[in-house]
Amino acid sequence: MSRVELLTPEGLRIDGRRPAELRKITSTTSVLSQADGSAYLEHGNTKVLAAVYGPREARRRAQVLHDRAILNVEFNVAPFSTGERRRRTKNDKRLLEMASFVKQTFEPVVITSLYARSQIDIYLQIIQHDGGTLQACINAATMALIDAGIAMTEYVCACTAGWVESEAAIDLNHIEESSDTSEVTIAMLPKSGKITLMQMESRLHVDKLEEVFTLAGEGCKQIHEVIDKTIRERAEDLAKKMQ
Amino acid sequence: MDRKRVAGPELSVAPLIEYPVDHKRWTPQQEKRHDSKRQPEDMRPIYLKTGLIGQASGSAYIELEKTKLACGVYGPKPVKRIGQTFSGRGLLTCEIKFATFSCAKRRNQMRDPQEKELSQILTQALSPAIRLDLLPKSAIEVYITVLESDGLGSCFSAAITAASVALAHAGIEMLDLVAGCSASYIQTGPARSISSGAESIPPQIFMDADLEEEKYEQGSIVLAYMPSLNEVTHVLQSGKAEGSIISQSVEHCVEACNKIYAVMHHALLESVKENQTQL
Amino acid sequence: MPSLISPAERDYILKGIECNIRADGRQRPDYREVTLETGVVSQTSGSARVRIAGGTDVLVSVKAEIGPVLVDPETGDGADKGQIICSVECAPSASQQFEGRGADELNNELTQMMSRFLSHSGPAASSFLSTTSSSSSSSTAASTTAKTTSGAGGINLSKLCIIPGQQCWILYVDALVLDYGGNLMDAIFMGTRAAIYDTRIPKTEVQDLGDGQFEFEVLDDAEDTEEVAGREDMPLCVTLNKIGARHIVDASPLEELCTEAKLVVAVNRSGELCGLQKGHEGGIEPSLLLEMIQSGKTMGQSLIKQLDASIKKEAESDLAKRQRGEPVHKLGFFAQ
Repeated sequence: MSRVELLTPEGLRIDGRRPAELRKITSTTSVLSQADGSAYLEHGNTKVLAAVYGPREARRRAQVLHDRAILNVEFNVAPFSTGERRRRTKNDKRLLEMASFVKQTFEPVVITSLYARSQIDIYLQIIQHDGGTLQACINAATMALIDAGIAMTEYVCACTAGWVESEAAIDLNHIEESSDTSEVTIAMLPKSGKITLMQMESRLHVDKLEEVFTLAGEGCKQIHEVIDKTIRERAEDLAKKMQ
Repeated sequence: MDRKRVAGPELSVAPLIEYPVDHKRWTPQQEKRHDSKRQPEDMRPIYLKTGLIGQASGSAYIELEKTKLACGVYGPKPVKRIGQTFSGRGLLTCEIKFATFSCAKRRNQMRDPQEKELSQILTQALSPAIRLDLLPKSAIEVYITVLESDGLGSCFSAAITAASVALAHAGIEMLDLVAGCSASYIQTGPARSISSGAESIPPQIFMDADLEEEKYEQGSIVLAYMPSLNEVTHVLQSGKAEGSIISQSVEHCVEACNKIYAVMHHALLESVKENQTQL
Repeated sequence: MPSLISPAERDYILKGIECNIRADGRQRPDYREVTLETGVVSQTSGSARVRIAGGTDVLVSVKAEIGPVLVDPETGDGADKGQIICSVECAPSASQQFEGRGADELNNELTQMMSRFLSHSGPAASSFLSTTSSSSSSSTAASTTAKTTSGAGGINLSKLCIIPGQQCWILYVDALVLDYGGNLMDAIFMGTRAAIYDTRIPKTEVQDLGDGQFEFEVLDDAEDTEEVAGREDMPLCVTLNKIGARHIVDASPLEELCTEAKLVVAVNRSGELCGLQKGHEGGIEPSLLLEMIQSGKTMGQSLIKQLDASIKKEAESDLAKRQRGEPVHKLGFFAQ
């Protein structure tokens, strides 16, 4: 079995990108009619749909907080999203873990004290899976929350980065993720530079950590610009329609 | 993992039944039906009796030759769920369960999706007949256990019939009894070749088909009907059929339901007489 | 998304339907505008997305995978047929009532209905052949085989078989409801028909190693694929809702809450009924039932014609673009 060459001698990756280059990001908001806010994000071949319902009455009375809103995140992976068709049950441990990551990411950012005794639901639907799902989900969730008009202190932008062969690279796709590379996902607030989520599952040498980290931070800032542009365009569009 | 039950080996195969040499499997080409006594428009004789389950508010047991099922009705009883919003109408829940030994192939103990769907359909078939608006904040539960199933369509229609009789036996106010019956479309005689342009013989309608006959069906229909109100409460048809065949089968089923209605009446009157003699 | 409806709203809708005016201005037999696009998900064998103006959004994908043959132990049927396995899932983003386990019942109901309409198979082929071949000519036997190998869904299952008795193609049809705006069943079936039209199954080469052993190889050529046989005979369904004494087509969510009884009629292009199911908790008179079946049938047939015409148009324009060397962009969610 031939070994897949992740980095060519010229420094190009499998899909022809440079190590510090992001995949093409396209997005749009307000795609669903029933949800309060929704966003669709395409990160290369990874396609994610986020829907936000809220603030609304909490479903479970026991968990209601008297001074804040509770955040509830649910993941749903379509059976046709991966290469081979596989049905995932709702209680898959991996999905529950990713859902709790997203929840932790947004709890400090959403101003929950404005919505006492209510619940904000974020539903993430993965339509196609080609690496970097967690980052795409966090970005899509940010856009959906903005579309729903829920108060947040800042944007949350996420980016993956890793060490591919001999260089640090950002925005890994599925082939790179599944081979023996280390991968870090970082969610950052671009204006203040604070980090709300950092997740890594593989081994990375301490010396390389700083490089990977800075690169991921750069990636987050780039993603922030792209997302911000889309949201402003949509808002202008809406303002025009109202005149 | 159900530790209370001893499961069989994981890989098990049903035994091959060796039929004697002269055993002829029934095929539609033969002039008669599988049990050689009936005509295509005849239903199997029904045995229907109430009062099988003492603990239940109402119960019924029905036998259509080999199809046997028992039905128990519990209620009206208060709705227990706390988060449930107030409902002005009663809540009807039906659960149908095939016993593990009821079909040719052993069924799972847990309810499978088919049973869940049949339960939902049963609820939809019975609801129009019950006066649920007289029972706010209450729930009525109907449990059906199929002891032996000889044809899925007949099983389901027998379930509807038994459930209505059990509900009446329980003293729950209803607008009318719901009778259920089933029919299959089976191609008898060879179909003429399509390329020759001639019209193929339309399939024949066999009322109340049993398991052997169902294997050859091109389609089937199950109908639940309220005779006094002249309303169809449920219709379920699967398989391909022409529109004319469907209208014909609906008419046949309506007639058959009227006959079943008489049987249901008789069974309920018998049970009243028994109660009278007991008092 | 309201799961309750006030008596005033219910009365308004009821009276409106009596006068042939619905809440959004349509007449009783009018459909809302339907947008359809095929080939939206790239990792599948075929896919389609259907959107009904007013909210319903369904994504259907077809994946062809190789698996063992499913043989009925009693009749021996199925050894030479492929399989179709359907599933419907309502995403929790579709509606407020679908969160957590709320959608389970609806998922099950839609899945069972879909598999009943698509894969109800005809009578056992093998035993049929043994009795007819003795009494009729070989051409008759051949035609009965052709009639019995296709399910009610019209798809020719025997073409999906690779090695009889061992391996076959299994078509997994997965429908994902992304947004709920009423009339789910019709949208799912339209999407399924379009997705199956779009499906391309790779060709296989079977080698006979002798001694009953077979080996097959899947040809990897992206251009050398075949379409699903029998896809023109796939049914479409029409949902008729009885409100008051009249019936309407393509109900919006509020109209669905007022429905007394719902009838789903599945019809294929030759006018044969492939399935009929009643839902909701009300009764229908037999004469009204037959009338509804009739109108469902006519509407279904005209829908099939319109759907086929638009799919063909899209396929032709895609082909023309490819021949000119232009990239084909799928709008997907970016369509306004």
